[in-house]
Amino acid sequence: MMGLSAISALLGLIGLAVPLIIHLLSNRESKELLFGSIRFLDPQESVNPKSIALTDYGQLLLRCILIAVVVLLAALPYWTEHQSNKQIWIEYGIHADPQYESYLSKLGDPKEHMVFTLGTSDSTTAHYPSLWSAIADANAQKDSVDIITFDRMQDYIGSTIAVSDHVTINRVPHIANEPQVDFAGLTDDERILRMYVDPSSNTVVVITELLDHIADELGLSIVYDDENYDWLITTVPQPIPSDIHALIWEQNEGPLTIRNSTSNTLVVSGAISRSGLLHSDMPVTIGSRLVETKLGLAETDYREMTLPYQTVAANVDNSYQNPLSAWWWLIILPLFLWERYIAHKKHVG
Amino acid sequence: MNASANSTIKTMIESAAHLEWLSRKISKHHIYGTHASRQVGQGLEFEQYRPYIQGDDLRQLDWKLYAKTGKYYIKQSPVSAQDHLHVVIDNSPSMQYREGDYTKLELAKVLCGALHYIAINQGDSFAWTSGSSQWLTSSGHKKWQASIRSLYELEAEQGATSQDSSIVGNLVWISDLYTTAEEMEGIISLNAHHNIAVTVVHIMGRAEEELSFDTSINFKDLETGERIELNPKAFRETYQERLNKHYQTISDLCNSYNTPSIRVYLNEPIDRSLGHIVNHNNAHYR
Repeated sequence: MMGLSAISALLGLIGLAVPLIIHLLSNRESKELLFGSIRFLDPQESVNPKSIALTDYGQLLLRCILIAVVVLLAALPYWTEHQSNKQIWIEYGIHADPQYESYLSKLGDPKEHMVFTLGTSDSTTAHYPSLWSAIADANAQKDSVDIITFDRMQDYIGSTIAVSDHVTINRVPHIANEPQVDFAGLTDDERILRMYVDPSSNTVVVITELLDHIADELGLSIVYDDENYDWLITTVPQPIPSDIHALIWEQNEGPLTIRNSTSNTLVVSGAISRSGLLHSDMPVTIGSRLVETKLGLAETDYREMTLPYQTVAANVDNSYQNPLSAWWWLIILPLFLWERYIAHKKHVG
Repeated sequence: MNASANSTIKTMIESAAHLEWLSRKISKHHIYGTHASRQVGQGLEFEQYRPYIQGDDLRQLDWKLYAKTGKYYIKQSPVSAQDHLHVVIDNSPSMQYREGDYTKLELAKVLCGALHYIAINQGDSFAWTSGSSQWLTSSGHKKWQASIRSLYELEAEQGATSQDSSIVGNLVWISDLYTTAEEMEGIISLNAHHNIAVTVVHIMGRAEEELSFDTSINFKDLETGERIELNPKAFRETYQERLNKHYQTISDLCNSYNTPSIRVYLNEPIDRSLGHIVNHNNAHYR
């Protein structure tokens, strides 16, 4: 099965228009030649541009094929016995987007949806499924991947990930229709507790709503104890899986993170950032107080966590890229020489 | 020729001095020195009798022989060693056809200038005519330079090829021969009727002869201004057949009057073309 590592290079097929335009232009205006006498030329034999074009179709076709082959090779084709699959990776926070379902519906029927963090810090990239390790894994499997991410991640992904040949990034706007928060009359702690400020976009999300999103996604029931000011988030009957210990938010130097306290209760503290990661043993605080919650986690939502940890760089497999590159000239050169031969033959008649 | 068409023809001969230099340069290898007469005509020394033909000067009739035989004969003597060379240049619009550096007319001018230079170096008299322009018999370097200036100013024009009745001696007709058979015969037949040694110099271009142009050429006839768009590649064979037929007509005509015909090409060195003319001319009339 043939795949293309750099599908975007197929944009070069626009170049097929070049020989076509040249062909049409060259037929539009014939070169004028001041000739001694046309008495030996028969007016009945004169030809119109269309019939001239017909005689040149072979060369036009050859030129188009030549360009198409060059573009195809630029797209880094590869052969593999592996039946590649399409995966969809969804940045964690996208779950909170009201249009989340519509994003998925546009992506067809992938093999699996993978919810993962786009974390950039050492602690987040060292664990699976970080973006890095997931891409390394996808490369190894030669799967194609659609990433759904917020706008703010696009530069990061585009500038950092070299191995993104068959990764398509779908950017979606940051959570739309966010409620605006009225900060009037709130203390600093209250502000910290009540809001989440995205440092890149300065958009504001009420933390209760964010947590509600999390609860919805995880199939949990979370109650925010506003009256006690304890941020008590409850509660679920089933125990938390043993390999899931905590939610850690990417921007852990911020005010909110979550960690587990008991077998079926997570302690929420520290920073909330845009993306989340299940992590272990991360001490967190919320402001100056401890907030406890009871989250019942649906195991299927986090099946990725059963995969082994991976370090990104060491597992990136570049070997599949462009296995034909060493032989490209075997295709290009004969085509080029053939085209030149036809042009020469036409010139000398 | 009209002004608009003239403006499209570029000249590669930049000045009269350039033409003079070219003519002198290419002729230097063909100056042979004085030569014996190849012609018979009026003179003191007897050479031969020939029957009178219409148009001969009655003063040349040998009346004594008429008294003896009752027939008219012309008494001929070797002419003096000084020859006369007359070049007729076809300056019809078709002579503006260009291939490589020169048009046919420019090549004709250079060949004419060079032949003139050779003639004066051999002590021969020289004249050229072309359409309405002419340079009458002259010899000497100063006259040559004046002739070159006049030659430089010669332009293509519509009209029949001139047939100067004053032509005597050798005649070199430089043309692309895109004329009617009657016109051609009018000049070539001077050989027989007026005892003029005619040499036909036929100028062609290689690409013109082979029609070796790229696809889709819009041919514009320099004579008539008519246009025809052709794919030369598709029409080459027919064209060459027709052109060869034309060549055959020229050849037959020249053979019938025992007139040498030399074909020179725009793309070959002018020096070589001149060599063909000089050598051929000498060989034919020696």
